[in-house]
Amino acid sequence: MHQGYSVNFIKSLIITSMFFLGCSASVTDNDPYTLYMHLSSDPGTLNPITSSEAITSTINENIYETLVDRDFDTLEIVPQLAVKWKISDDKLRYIFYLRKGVLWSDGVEFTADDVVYSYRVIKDPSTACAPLKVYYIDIRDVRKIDRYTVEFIYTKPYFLGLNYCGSMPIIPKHIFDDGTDFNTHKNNRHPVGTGAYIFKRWDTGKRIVLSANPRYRGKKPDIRNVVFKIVSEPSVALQMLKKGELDVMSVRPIEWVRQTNSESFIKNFYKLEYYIPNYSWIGWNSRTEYFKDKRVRKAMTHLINRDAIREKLLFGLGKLVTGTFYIYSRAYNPDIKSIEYDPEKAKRLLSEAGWRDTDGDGILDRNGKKFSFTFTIASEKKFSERLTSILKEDLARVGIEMNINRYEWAVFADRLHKRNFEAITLSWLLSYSDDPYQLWHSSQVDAGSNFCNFKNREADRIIEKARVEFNDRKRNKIYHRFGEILYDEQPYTFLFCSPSLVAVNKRFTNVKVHLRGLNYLEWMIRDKK
Amino acid sequence: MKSGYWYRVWREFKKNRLSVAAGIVVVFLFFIAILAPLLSNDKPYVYIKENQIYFPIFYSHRDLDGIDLRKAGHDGFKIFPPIKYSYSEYDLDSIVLPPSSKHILGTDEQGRDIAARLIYGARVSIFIGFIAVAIYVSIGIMMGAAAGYYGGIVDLIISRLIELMLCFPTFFLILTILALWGPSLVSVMVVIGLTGWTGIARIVRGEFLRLREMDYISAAKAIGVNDAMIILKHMLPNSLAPVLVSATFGIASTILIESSLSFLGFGVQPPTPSWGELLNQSRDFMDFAWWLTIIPGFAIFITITSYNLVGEGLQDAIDPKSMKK
Repeated sequence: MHQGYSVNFIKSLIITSMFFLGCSASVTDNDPYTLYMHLSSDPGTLNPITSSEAITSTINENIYETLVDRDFDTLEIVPQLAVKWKISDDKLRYIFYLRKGVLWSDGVEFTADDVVYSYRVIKDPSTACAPLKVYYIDIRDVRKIDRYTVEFIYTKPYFLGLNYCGSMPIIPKHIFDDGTDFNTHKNNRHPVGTGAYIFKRWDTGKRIVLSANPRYRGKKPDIRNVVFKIVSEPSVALQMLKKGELDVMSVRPIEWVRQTNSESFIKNFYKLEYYIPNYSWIGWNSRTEYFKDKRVRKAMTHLINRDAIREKLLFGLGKLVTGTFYIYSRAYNPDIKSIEYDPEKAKRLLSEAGWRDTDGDGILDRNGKKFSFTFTIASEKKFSERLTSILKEDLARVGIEMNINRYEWAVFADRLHKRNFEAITLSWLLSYSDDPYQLWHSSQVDAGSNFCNFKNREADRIIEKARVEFNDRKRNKIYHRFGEILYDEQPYTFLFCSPSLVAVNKRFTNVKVHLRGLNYLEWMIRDKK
Repeated sequence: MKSGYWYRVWREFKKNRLSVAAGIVVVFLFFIAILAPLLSNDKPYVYIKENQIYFPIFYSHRDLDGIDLRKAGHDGFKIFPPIKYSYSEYDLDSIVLPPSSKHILGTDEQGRDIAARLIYGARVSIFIGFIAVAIYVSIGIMMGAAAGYYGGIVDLIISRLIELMLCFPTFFLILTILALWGPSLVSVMVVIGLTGWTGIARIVRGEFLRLREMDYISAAKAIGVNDAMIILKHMLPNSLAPVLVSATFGIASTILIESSLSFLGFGVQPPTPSWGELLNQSRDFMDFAWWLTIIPGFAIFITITSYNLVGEGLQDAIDPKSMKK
């Protein structure tokens, strides 16, 4: 925490002068050239390699760049730090030609050494970035060919190779390679990047301030500063938005429907709704006696009135999903019919699986064991609480006893990773083209993200086959089959793809919704003082 | 002699009108808590159909399983409780509704009836209050009695222990323990019980130090009455009055602690209602659903105030200066 404060005399002077600048800035809080964003909590770190939090990437995407980017509308891979690339015919070698003359925000030039260093750090066993490492297991080496050329060498072909090489986080070698511990490096709180904005300061619990990068090669954005205000209470943040203290905020469904429709709100704010890849789910741990049987898992899905929940609890804001891929991607199988809400069918399935009320106490049992399980939820998630309270009532009606255990996030995550749960609910944030390996391959059952113990030979084969299939049409066809298997097995009850519901102050113009979401680099300020 | 003392306390207490009124509220809330299933239920007390008599609340009749008697199509003679909803039943068609004739105190974000949840919440809040206080009063009496009666090294150890406990910021200690144990009704009660006993222990110790020097205790010792007998039969009854006062205040503060814990999400597990939990749920809708905040807030306010007024009344009543008159 305190590593950000240097004892070096000159540096501390700079910090002091920045502090004064900051003070004067906060007095005139409505600087027209500043964009005020909402953050619900402090990020743990601003190191793009060790962090897997969404909050960190919201900030870092302004500061750090990667070799390639995705077009906001077409999602095609486009040049960023690399100007072009070449892929060998055997799909094992990726050569990237780097952009010349790109400077880190401290003035040092970006070169192939930075790319190689970033790769080495990710591979280093002492670096705490397990989720990221998964994507680079099949890379044998990353070589510097010359100052502006690097080569990634794979041990076997991988259809997302370009995607993962190109989106590897890149950090400045001259900053991080100073012999201190990487995981607790002082620049984890003070990022130095090549992006459109540079980091100014971070007042823990209050704000993170960025300002436009004067050395940035692209078009200068109209917005000169971005201030992320940290406000943990959503209802407080909404009030701040209405008062003009925040410019952009993701609101919750009930706020979208009930609290942001007044005439003055519509007059002052754009309301933008778009779907980025995500879905929520309920996982049934098949290690437990209850959910070992797929008939029981199917019965559970029959018992969850997803349409009513979507309609009433989410106010119709969300799309019911039947698979693990992004609902708008070609890999998603649109032909899978959603399992309907049908308690009678559920009862039949449960009784087929041996769960009947033999002792007349109103609760199903099998071999003397009652059907009574515990649903684990995280205390921060209000939706989980509502969902499970409803489910508890519905299950009681068919004779299943369900308890709810709510844990603080750290405890919840620990139970999840130790597979110490019977049923659980969460959401996944996906990428635009996805590999189901991390979530569904049987090798990920014990340590990876395959929490519910999903094991299926055919699914494993498909996942492995798809990884080396470079023809999109063929691969998507394979994935459609995968979707069928997955839905038939019901390791999850798939719930909804939720929209991003964003309110943006109308003092900005050119606010467009792209397939990838919002891009405030292109926003213009309406009234320039 | 003993009845005489408590009679005088009661006479003094009655003089304070406000405390008596508060006492009535306390008793009233107590009955609401005990009778919660009879006041708010989705089943009727009595249901008579085709010469068949049912008591759905009191017995579970197999032929009524899964039948909602409130719905049309189940004719016959029915008597329902005042609130025709259970605390956990949801209705997604009536989410966040203001008070109306159908839901007299409105509904929450799952369409659950606030009146029903408030009544059951009283049960949880008051139950936790009584049990937790019972736990810490017992511990406090034992500790205080031992310290006060034996004195010397026992007193030294217990007094230091009390001071040690007092050094902890109790609320944060409770939060820490709950974070480790996982929140539940039982852990909330136990934690409050195990951390709250110091006040009682000090009172009892003080009383015992005073009583120990009394002639009748010396007399009891002289004729060979054993320690346990002296403590339980001769000293304890005479030191109970201040304990009672402290316990009354204790219940109020326990209800408040439980509400705070539930408000922070460390209290009871969903869908169990408690007043703090109700307030917690209301946070999202504070700017337009006033009833979700005001009603549980008011319930907490009334309860805490009543217990405190009763406590104050008792304190005045046992004050020897007022007794002399």
